[in-house]
Parts: sequence; structure tokens; C-alpha cells
Amino acid sequence: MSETATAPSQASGDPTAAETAATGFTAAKQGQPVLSLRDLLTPVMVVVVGVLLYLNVQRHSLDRIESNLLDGTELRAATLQHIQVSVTIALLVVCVAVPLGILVTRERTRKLGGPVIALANLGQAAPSLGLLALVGFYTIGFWAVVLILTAYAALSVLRNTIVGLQQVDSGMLDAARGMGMSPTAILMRVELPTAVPVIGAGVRTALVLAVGTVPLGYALDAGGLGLPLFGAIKTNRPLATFTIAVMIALLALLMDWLGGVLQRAATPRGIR
Amino acid sequence: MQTSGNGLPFSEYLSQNRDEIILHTEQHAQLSLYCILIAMVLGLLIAVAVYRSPLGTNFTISTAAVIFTLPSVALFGFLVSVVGYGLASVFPVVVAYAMLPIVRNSIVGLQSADPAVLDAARGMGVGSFRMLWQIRFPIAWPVILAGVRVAAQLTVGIVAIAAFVTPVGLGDYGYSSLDNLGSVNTRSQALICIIFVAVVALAFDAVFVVIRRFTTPRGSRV
Amino acid sequence: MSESSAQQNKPEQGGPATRSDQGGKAGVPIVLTDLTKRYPGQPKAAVDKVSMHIPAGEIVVFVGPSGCGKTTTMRMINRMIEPTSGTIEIGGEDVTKLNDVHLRRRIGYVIQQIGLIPHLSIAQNVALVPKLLKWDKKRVTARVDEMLTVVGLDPEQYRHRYPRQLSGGQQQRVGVARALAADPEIMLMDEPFGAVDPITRSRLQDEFLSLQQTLKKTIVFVTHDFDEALKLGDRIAVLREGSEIAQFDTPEAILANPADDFVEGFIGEGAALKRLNFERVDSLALDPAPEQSRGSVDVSTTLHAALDLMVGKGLRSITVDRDGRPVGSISIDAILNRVNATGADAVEA
Repeated sequence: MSETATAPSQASGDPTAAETAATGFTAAKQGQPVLSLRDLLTPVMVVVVGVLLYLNVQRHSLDRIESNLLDGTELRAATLQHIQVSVTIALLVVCVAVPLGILVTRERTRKLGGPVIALANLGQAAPSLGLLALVGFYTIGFWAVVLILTAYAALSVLRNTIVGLQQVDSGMLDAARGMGMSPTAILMRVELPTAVPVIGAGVRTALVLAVGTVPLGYALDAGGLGLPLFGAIKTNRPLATFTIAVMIALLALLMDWLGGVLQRAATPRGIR
Repeated sequence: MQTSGNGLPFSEYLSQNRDEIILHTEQHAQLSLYCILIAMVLGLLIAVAVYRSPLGTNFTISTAAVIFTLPSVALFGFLVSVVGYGLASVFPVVVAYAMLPIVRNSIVGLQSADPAVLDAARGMGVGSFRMLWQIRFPIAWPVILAGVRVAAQLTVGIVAIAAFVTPVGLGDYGYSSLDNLGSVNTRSQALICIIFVAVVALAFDAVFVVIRRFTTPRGSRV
Repeated sequence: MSESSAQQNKPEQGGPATRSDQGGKAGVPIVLTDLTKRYPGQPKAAVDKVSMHIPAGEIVVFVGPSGCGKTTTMRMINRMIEPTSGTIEIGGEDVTKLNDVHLRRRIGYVIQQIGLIPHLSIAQNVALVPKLLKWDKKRVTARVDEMLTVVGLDPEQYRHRYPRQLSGGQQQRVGVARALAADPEIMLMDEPFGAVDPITRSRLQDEFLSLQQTLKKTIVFVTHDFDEALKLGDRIAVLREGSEIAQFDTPEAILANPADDFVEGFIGEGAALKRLNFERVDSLALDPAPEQSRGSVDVSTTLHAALDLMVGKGLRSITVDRDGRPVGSISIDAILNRVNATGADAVEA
């Protein structure tokens, strides 16, 4: 039997069978509405933990460094920046990886699929940390971080897109061609809709990946929670470290949840 | 922003710091290896315990997936604030990450045996331990191995990030470079981080290709 | 031919297995007494108090509609399904008390989907139970080769191959070889020839019959195909819902005297013609041979084949040969008379 070539699935909280989890895509159950009651579990939990964090900080007396690190306004701004960078990355990734994935899986370019996936795997072996450090040598700022992390995350989404498109049932394609659909029509109306769940999972991965790697760019002046986090670490302030670390985690969960909702919304009803 | 006049050209930096680089690379590879092995053992044990029950399966995979969503920096930071610096904060996080692909693939693999094969074997008098060990496991092995391979890639990457917790492995170069952004040799350090981590990752991958070749039962390969 | 009656035979003595012609263990009788299987939450029992005596060395076929419980009953014999109540005796031994895993190593088990283990070679598949029983290596190897030969596969060619390299028919043969490998006294077969095409199936059935001639194992065979039951069974159990026995008798007896509408419905059309398969030309008194022969059949031809030939050629009678020389003739009328004569009573062998 064939191996399950898995890209890390960032699925969280969704009730999936082991098998769907293994193929790295999460599809909502048949015919279900996009948002159900149990979906609110994650955001509610995030809010609750957030409040607990806040209360926990309040009951400690903070020294000067800690107060700086945990300053409410600062942290809010940092969080917003963090979201900004992550979302930008995710959007760029979709705009780059999906078309590229499509390009590489057409009739004429079929043979490129394998080598490109291999190349993507190769690229993923490079650590995001090192890439950020390298870029930082030459330039810093919002776009420095965004572009390098886009390149990094795009590799994983590219792989998912290619695999997703390759998995479209050949019987379906055959029937569509036999009915006289043009290649473009087939792409838009058969292939892409079927591949959406896989692509969606890839985008979700990119989003969570972004949230997780942006902090590593703390020295590149792009904002985000990386700077406060590493500040707390270098000044050895456990409370601040703990708080900010949990904040980043919550952010990741929230983004993942959002990604899941969007993914389900984008999945055509028949497949949903 | 930087002129290349600062610091040594890359190749010279390499040869000058060769011993140190090799040391860090070895650390990186070793740490990764230990984590993968621990993750394999734990992951397989959990999978074997759980694969027969749909409830257990769902719970395990969902939990692992949640942990997987949390950024590694965040988990490291969390552990550092509680346990302190040092390897004690590194192992749990890396192993936890590596376990997701392993547990997931192991469960899927163990569940995937053809029911007819299991029925026939049971009907012939194959006992339950033998069934798991000699029938389900060989059938599951290619999938499990694929999972371990993915886990290995992940591990090598995360061990790089872990260097801020304790200065072990090649991530150290990355953080040095970031902390002294623009100073002498930071470019070389960044390059070392990238290149050597990639080398370690690919080396692990190559080992897996070999392992797969040698351990896939011939019947499944044919 | 066997005795006939509309009910079960009188029980035979249990006892040690006799040797078959080939020196392997011949079958032992199987006795089911009030065997019941009830699933929780279901009002009706899947198998409801079934009692049956399966004589040693015979093939007993369970036929019935889907869901009647025939497979469930069969699978209780090797305890793949645990009975809710009732007993199963194999060769006089009550097997409900034995360790189930060990019990199964003494019973041959063949299923429709075959279930060869994909990562083991053919030889390793066939050797499975002997190895579980801790036979020594030499004996195992010899036995594997012997079994492969018996099912018509050249050991040299097939020993080292893998299941996915074989066709469906070949895999099915390996399945049978595997079931016979440890020389069990009884065999359970659940639609074993169902997964192959009709031509292969027919051939497998013929080979299986001739194999059983020499082996004389006790075989419980489940099928939904009544014609297969007629062809293979020494005795047929027609089962209703709950595995209730509608009729348990020889094929000829069932065809001649179906117990009720249900059995008749199962037999379907052509019962009378089917009965003609069970008798040969030489069971009738032959008329004198004609001067001019316009077609002939051998004495060993079935009445069915003879009738078919006559109808095909438009003849009212046909010459009967023995060893190539005409010894008489039979007519369509004679055949008709035979059918009528044996319709009312039990068929004689």
C-alpha cells in the first residue's frame, strides 16, 4: 500500500478521523453549516485563558523591567503587529504557492511535479531562524520579515497544492473532458474545488507557521511579540516570559481556528 | 547596511572555526537523534494502546494536533519560565512535536490492515500478540516510517530554535547573528546556521531512505 | 450413495479419526446441539437453537438467503463468534470449553476474500499453522511443497512468490493449501470460490471435489448459490432466518421432495431437470440398441446430459455405449418415467 506522505498538519480541535488527519486535510462533515456551536469552543477558551493571564499578572507586583515588558499598550500594539505580519505572509503565500502549484500540475508540465516537490522538501530543510538571520544582515523591517517567511512557508503550501491537485480523481477528470469542458473550465470548476480542502489546510499551516516564526525575527524590527518575549528571556523574567509565551500560543490557536473557519467556508457544499 | 569589509569572508570563517562548528553540528545531530528515538518509542506505545478504539484515537490525535499548533518558541518560553534554562526545557517540547506525525501515522498504519487478512489469520489460530507483531506491524511499517521521517525533519528544525534555551546545536549561530545584527561575521554565522542545519536534515533523510529500502518486507515492495 | 430421509441421520459414534486414502487425517463428525447466538439489543436470535449432526468425511453445505445466519453458525464452530448457548462437539469433544486460539489451529479455515498475508511469501503463508504448531523445519518445507502440488501449483514456481503476484484463482488455491497444511480433521469454508470468475470457479469446484475424494475431511461449506450446493454437497442444509433448518438432506432428496415452499423457492426453476444430474444412464433398464445409431452416449453419462443431447439433436432415443461399443439405448420416455417414479418417494441410489 502507498505511504502516507505527510506534511505536518496544523489541524487543531477538529474532530477528524485519524485518516483525514493523516492526509493533512480537514473537511467539515457533510452538509454541516460553516459555524456550529462547538466551533466557538476555541475562541471562548482563548478569551478565558487571556483573562486568567491578565489577572495573574495583576496579582504580582512587577519590577521596572517587567512593567515595561508587560505594558498593556505596548503588548496590544505588538499583538496587532504580529497579526498583521502573519496575515500578510499567509495572503502572499496563497498568491504565490497556489498559482505555482497549478502551473506545475498541468498536462504539459506534469513531469515537473515530482522535482518541484523534491525541491520544496529541500528548501524546507533550511531553518527559518537562519534565514531570518541572513536576511537581517542585509535589510530589516516589515517587508524583510514578510518576504523571507513567505518564501519559507510557501514551500509547504506549494507541496500541499501540488499533492492536492494530483489527487483529483482521474475518473472525474475524464468525465469532464468527455463532456467537452475546456481545460480552464475543468481547472476552475472541477480541480480547484476538489483540491480546496488540501489547499485550505496548507494555508492554515502557513498562517500558524507564520505566527510561530515571526517571533524569531525579533531583531528585524518588524514588530510582533518576538521582541518582548526575547526581552523577557534575556533579562530572566519568568513571569513576563510565561505571559508572553502563552499569548503567542493563544494567538496561534486563534489564527488556526480562523483558518479553519475560512477553509470550511471556502469548501464547496458537496464536499463539505 | 553592512559592508562586506567587516569580518572574514565566509570560507575563512569556516576554516577558522571549524572545530567549533563541527562540535555544534554534532550536538545538533545528537540531540535530534535522541529526541526522535524517544518520540518513536513513546509514539508507538501510544499508538498501540489506542489504535483499536475510535474514541482513544480521536482524543490522542486531537490532543497532539493542538500541541502541534502551538509555536515552538511559545512552548520553549513557557517551559523556561517554569523549569528554567537547560535541556530539561528542550526535550519535552521537541519530543512532543515529533510525536504528532509518528502517532498519527502509526495509528493509521495499524488500522489499515485488510480485514480479510486479519479474519483469515484469526481463523487459523493466530493469537493477539502475534497478530499485532507479525501481521499488523509489518503492514503498517512503511506508513510508520514515513511518519518518523517527517518527524525527523521537524525535529532538526526545532532543535535549531531551541538554542535560545540552552546554547546547544546550530541554532546558536542563528541567535548570535540576530543578537549582534550587522556586526562582524554575523553573515557567516547566519549562513552556517542555514547550511549546516540543512545538511543535518538531509543527512537524516538520506538515512531514512536507506532504512526504508532495507526494512520494507519484500512482499510489500513487489 | 448415502441414505436418505427428510430428517437428520442417526448420530454416528464419535471416535478417533480414521486415515484417509492419502494418509492424512480423515474427518470426524461435528455435532451441534441447540446452538444459539443472540446479539444484545436484537429481538430475534441470529442463530436460534440449531441442532445438526454432520457426519464424518462429508461435505455439508449451508445454503440460505443473506442474513439467515449460515455464516454465523459456521463461525461458531471455530469460535470466531462465541455461542450464546448450546454445544459444539467435534469428534466427540466439546469445543466450547477449549482455548479458542488453539482450537482454530486444528481447523481449516477458508474465506471468500482469501486473506493471504501480503508481506509473506506463498510458502510462508502456507506454512503458517504448521509453524504455530511448532513442526520442525524439514517437515514444514516438505508439507508446503506437498500442499502446493495438491492444489495444482508447482512449488518450484510459486513457493517464493508473493500474493499480489498471483491471480485470483491462484490465490484461492493457496488459501485452500494453507487451510490443509496442518492436516486438520475438519474444514470451514465460507463462499471460498465466490471471488473468482465463473469459469475458474467451476474448475476450482471440480478440483476440490476430486481432492475431497481422497482426503475425506469433514467440511462445512457456506454458499448462497444453490447450484454450487447441489454440485458439491453430500448433504445440504437449507436454512431460514435464525439459521433454522428448513431441510437437511441429500441433494437428490431435496430436489425430489422439497420440505416446503421456502425450500422450493430456493431450488427455483428446473428442479426436475436438475435431479437428472444425479443419475447415470446405466441406472435405467436399457432398451435394445437400434440398427442405426444416430447419436450415442456412454453409460456413465448423467441422465441430464443424455436428455440434453437428445433434445439438441431432435432424437427420441439414443444409443448407449460401454467402452465404445453399443449395449443398448434409452429414450426420452424412459427418462420421463424414471422422474415420475421417483418423484413421490425417496430417490434410491
